[in-house]
Amino acid sequence: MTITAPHTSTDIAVHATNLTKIYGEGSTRVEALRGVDVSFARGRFTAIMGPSGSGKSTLMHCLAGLDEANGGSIFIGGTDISKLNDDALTKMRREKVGFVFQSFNLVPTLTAEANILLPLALAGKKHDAAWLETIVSTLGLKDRLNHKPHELSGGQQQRVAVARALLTRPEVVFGDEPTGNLDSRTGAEVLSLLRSSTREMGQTIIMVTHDAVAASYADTVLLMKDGQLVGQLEDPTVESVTQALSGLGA
Amino acid sequence: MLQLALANLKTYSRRFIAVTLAVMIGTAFLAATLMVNASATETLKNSIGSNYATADLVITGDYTAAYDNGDDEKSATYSLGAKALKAIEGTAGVTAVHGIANDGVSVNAGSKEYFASVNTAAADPRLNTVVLESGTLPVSGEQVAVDATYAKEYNISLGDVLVLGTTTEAGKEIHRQAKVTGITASSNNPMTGSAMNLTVGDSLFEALSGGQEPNYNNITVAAAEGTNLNDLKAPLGAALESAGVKHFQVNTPNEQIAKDVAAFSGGQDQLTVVLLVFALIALVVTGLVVMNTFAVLIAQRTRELALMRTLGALRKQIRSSVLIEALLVGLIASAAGVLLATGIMAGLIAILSATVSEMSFVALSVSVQSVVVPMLAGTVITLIAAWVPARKAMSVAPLAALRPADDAAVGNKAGKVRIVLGTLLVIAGAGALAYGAVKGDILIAFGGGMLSFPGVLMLGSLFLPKTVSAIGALTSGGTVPGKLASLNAVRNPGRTTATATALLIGVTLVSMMMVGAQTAKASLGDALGSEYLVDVVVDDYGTTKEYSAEQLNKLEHLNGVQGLAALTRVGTSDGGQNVFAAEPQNLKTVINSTKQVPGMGDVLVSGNNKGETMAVHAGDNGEDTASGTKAELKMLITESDSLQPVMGWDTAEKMLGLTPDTAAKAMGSNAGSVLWLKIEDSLSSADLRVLQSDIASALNVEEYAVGGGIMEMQMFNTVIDMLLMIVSGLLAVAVLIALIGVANTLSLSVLERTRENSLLRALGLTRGQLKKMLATEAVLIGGVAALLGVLLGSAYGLLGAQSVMGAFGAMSVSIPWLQLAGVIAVSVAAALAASIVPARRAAKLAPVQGLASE
Repeated sequence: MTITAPHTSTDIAVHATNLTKIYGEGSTRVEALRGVDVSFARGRFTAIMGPSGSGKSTLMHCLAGLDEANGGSIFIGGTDISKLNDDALTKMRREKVGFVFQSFNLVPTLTAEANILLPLALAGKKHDAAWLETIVSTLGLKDRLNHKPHELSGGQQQRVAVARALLTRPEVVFGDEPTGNLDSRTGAEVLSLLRSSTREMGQTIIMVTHDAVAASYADTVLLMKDGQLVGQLEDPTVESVTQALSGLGA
Repeated sequence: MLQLALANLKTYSRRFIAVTLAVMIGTAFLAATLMVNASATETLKNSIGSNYATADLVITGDYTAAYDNGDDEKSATYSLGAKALKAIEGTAGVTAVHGIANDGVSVNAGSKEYFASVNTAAADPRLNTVVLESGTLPVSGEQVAVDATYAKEYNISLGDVLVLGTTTEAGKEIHRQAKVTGITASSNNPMTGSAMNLTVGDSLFEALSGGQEPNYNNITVAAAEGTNLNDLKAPLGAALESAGVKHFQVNTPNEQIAKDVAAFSGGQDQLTVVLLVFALIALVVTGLVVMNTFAVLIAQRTRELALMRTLGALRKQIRSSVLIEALLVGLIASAAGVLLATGIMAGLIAILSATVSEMSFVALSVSVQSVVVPMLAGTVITLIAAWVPARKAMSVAPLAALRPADDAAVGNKAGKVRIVLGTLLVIAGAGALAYGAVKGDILIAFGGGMLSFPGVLMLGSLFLPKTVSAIGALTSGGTVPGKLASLNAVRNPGRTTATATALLIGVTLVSMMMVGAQTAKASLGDALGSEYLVDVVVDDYGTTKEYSAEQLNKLEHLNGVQGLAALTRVGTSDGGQNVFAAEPQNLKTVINSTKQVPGMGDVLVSGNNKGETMAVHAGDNGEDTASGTKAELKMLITESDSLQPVMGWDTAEKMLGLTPDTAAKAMGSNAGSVLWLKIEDSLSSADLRVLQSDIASALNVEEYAVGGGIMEMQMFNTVIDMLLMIVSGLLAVAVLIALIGVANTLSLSVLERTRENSLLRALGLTRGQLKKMLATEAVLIGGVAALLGVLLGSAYGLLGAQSVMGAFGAMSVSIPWLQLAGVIAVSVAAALAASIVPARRAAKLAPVQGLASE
């Protein structure tokens, strides 16, 4: 079953074919992904939803090159990442992929600014000062740049993480339950920021969530169950997502 | 990555305190060792080289070269005399020369007679090394200057008249009167500092030598301003050869000092070698502690490292980040270590030269080597030690950052490679240790120890957790915290091993030193006791006098005399030695080796005797051998090479039929007495000299009749005590480093388990029970590590002592049980103490907080 996010643009940011992932052996064998084919159009905000154990996190980890798939191929911006060795994969990650995690995952020893610049520092590259300025002011972090993570609120920390993900102008930003640790107001703030980065900056975003409210900010919602894609919603609302989820038996 | 490493060091600086301290102490030890070496050399320069330190060149006759060329019988080819002096004086570029000669003279001051070394002062001020404290240097033939130390001791002051006496080879006695015109600064030269030093004018020196050709130890040369000293060496050599001297050396004072120092310290500096071995051990311990600590630091940062990998850090970058941290820590800690060592050494030397007048010439020397080598060693060791944890950091998977909770157990099953390598190391190391011990080669034994110990540590994860759980099961007593503790100790074998290893290292080292030092001391003590069996012997050869009871009584009450055995002659051996008898009780008091007190039927003899028994005739050989009883006595052969055969009166009475009352009569005119004295250990060499003359005057004998082993014995005892002091110092260092390691690993391991402990609290473990559980676990691990360490260390200590002492003969095994028990007690207490703070922190945390925290 192939589901393609229907977008008029033929421009594809992330694409996977016949993706399989198996954990464990013998009696503990779990097929987390069973031949998933999926494409994500550039400049779209896609949410992946599904009940626990549906394989949504595994799919994201494989797409981001964090976990190795057992079969199939993954293309990010035209590069087949399933054929890359660890170093090349790491370089691909820091150049073409951005991450926003549930638990923020900022380096506690570095200031907000150093955290934002970290991927570029690791690559040994200079940052685009104007772009940094744009991002920082958009995210409202201007007077927080010299603070260490523990001096920031949860929402602020997540905004720093978003800035870090956007700074490299990656092919795609992956979000792993980015609002899971935030209250609903700050969560909404972060989601709006993500959505506007798609609208205004043309950023491709793939987000895994089980929160119908969060998913409603996306352009498209992909539904997963038992390691397979089982449906999709365009321009979702909280109600349509909830309904679709209950249809999955979640 | 530098930025990240710096940020880590800054934020987590407290976590690095332990590593820094360990590296600092290890480095300081090495630096101090090198400084001791450099300072010792510098000090010897101040003393040995004091006679020629100011000269431009020093000329020495080379007896070794003469011997090698078969010229050792022709003294003219290597001795420096008047002709040589004249030839050098006439060489172009030479402005002044001085022949340094020493002669022994007797000095009669008032009623007493002393021995003195006499020398001349150089006429040219540039070559003069005699420093006046008061008065003037002697010029005429009737003047003399005395060194300050002996002037004070012998009560000689300016204006006194001394009679200096010598005997020429022809046997002619020469006496000259000289007035004391000056008091000179005491000599630091160990070659001449042991006797009174007199400085006289050339004419008096010549007169005292009875017109004999002078024989200079050295000739010092002052060169004309701007002369290239190396260019001057060739013409000087030519001049010497024209004067008939074939074997000689021309050196600058520094070159000469280096040669003299080498000759004086026997070519190799044993003390420095021993110290360096200790310093190496300290550094190895440091390395192990660093490795341990870094491993825990990495484990704590797993999530953070995984995040870095996710964000695009290459494996290499992660490794270099850890290594940069290690490099910075190593550099800073080593620099601090060198500073610490410099401070300590400067302090020690200041105290030494201020409090011990004989040590006033000791100088601190911080050589480039003693700064650079420890810095390099400290940094490199830290880097090497961080290498393994850095590799571990490198292998952290990016996905680890995405797991909600960091309860990923660190994989710590002992790999096959590790087991095989560990086993090989243990076997090879044990082999080398045993070989070194048998052959008496400390270097091989040291190498063996260095190989086998890492092997044991590699295998640690095999036996440490099992031992801990076995002992835990035996001692848990069925309480919940007790059971949990012993379960905890095995559940993460890697953590248990890491914690136990730090302590194991320290305890092994400490007990090794204790057992080694104790055994070495016992062995050395026995060897020395056997060689220098009696402190002081009064033996007035050729006289047959008996000492009166009053004299003996006076002797016994002299300050410093602890025991007295009066030996009375009772007979003669077949070999013609005079045989003596004394009260067994008194013999026991004065003989320094408990194993060598003659029992019933024994006769104590010198090491020159061979065989099992000695045939002894009662009475004097010359007069009534036939009438005397003859007995075969069992010989108790000592290491001493000059010792009168002695037995107890019990033996003499039973075997020879002589009692103190009848002996004198049996010996007739050849009766005679020898006295053996036991002297207090604490006497200084100056005290001993005074005691010697006191004994002589109390008994009305010449001073030379009073001899014995105490002087030499005292020297050796000083060396042993000094070595033991150094060992104790090292002990403290090793304990300190090890304790830091223990406290660190324990507290970090508790920190690592915050979540787990909170879970237990949530499930109903009380605060007290939690504390008790952690304490029990710490004590279990600490106790087992200490126990194993003591066993291992004792084995190392005995083998090590055997390999060091091999050269000195048989080893006397001696185990300091009490000290070893103390080590175990201290280790357990330290483990307990190390668990207190983290346990309190863990107990304070509300269960929910702990579960939420990462």
